[in-house]
Amino acid sequence: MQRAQQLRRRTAKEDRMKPIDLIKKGIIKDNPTFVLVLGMCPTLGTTTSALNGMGMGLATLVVLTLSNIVISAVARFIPDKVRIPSYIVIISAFVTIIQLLMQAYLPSLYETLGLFIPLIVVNCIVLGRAEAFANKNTVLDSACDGLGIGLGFTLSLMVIGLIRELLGSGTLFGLPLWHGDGILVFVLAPGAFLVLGLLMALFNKLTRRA
Amino acid sequence: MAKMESTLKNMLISLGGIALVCALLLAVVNALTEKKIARVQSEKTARAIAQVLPAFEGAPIDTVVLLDGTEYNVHKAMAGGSTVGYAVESVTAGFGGPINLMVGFNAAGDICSTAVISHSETPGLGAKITEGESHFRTQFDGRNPAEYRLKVTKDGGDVDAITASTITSRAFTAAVEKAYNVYLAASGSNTDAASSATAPQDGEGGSDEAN
Repeated sequence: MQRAQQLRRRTAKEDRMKPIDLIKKGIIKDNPTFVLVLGMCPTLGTTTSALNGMGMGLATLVVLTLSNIVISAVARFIPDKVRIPSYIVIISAFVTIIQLLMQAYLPSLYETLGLFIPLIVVNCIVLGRAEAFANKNTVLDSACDGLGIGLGFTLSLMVIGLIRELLGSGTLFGLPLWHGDGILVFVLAPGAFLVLGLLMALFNKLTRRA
Repeated sequence: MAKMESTLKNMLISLGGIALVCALLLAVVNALTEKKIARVQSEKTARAIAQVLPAFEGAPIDTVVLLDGTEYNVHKAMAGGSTVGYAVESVTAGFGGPINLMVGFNAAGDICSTAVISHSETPGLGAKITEGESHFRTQFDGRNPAEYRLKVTKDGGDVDAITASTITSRAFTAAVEKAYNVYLAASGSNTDAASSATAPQDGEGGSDEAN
């Protein structure tokens, strides 16, 4: 009796993670930037400031969550051979919607992120979660997975952007902290690699201990 | 429920259906945001025009000038029945991508001011062209390209380039020069005989004093 209960609890734990655990998993254990190392192009390209990183992260989060929900809902109606094109069509529809909304309501953010928004379509995180998670899990779980991975992505990009902005331009979310130029290299592409690499090392050291 | 089999019919129906639904959704969102996006863009243009021209009345008259096979948007501003100036949209290839400029000219052909509409220059280097306090952009203000050589000093001109951003500086200067040529074409073709007769006289008088 006790054994059976134990067994049931264990299988339940293994098969179905609680929604909150799915979200936590996306931020820490399966962090898309520092652990899965996916979506590096927008990570390196848009994190010149904390606000840009956050904007890119949030745009991806919305697309990822919506596409995860829709794909998990319709996955069983999609024949295997056309699943990838189907996912791409669904994802690109959401990306275009986000792009239009941003253009209309957040024009200044759209200007800085411009080129990278359409590129969310081919962001490996979004397609990766569709293929690895959403098409074989329930709608709720997929939504939580999208939310978790999206939050992980947003937080990572924001931290990278924060550090690059602080060192490179001496500002914090656009507020000047001190006068004069920063260490320019951190705003440029090499700085993105430096900050990303060092943060990745730090992140892995911290999570491996725990 | 079993997965759909990959028969041709199933594939056509599912992929076609998804594409159709997505297209409809996009059509709806596009219809909802179209006007707002157009308004945001025209507001931006209006702001740039106001920034580069002296005070004017009413809405500027928009025209398109064709020069060397490229179309340029020109905005003619009026006040009290006479032309105050022209704002010319100009674009060149910078270091990181196209640099879109709005250049304002007064009736005498002097550059009033310039505004960067969009650019993708390196932050901290070429991006200094957008900074209001930087010497680079303001050095054009009040100059008349008829006697102010629109080339960076390295190329034998009068424009001080931004340190370590010669390509950006050259591109910016070239955009201003293009805008001036467009201005010449626009003011020559659009003004009536009376005003075109007075404009060159003003210009000559100015250069005589300079000599």
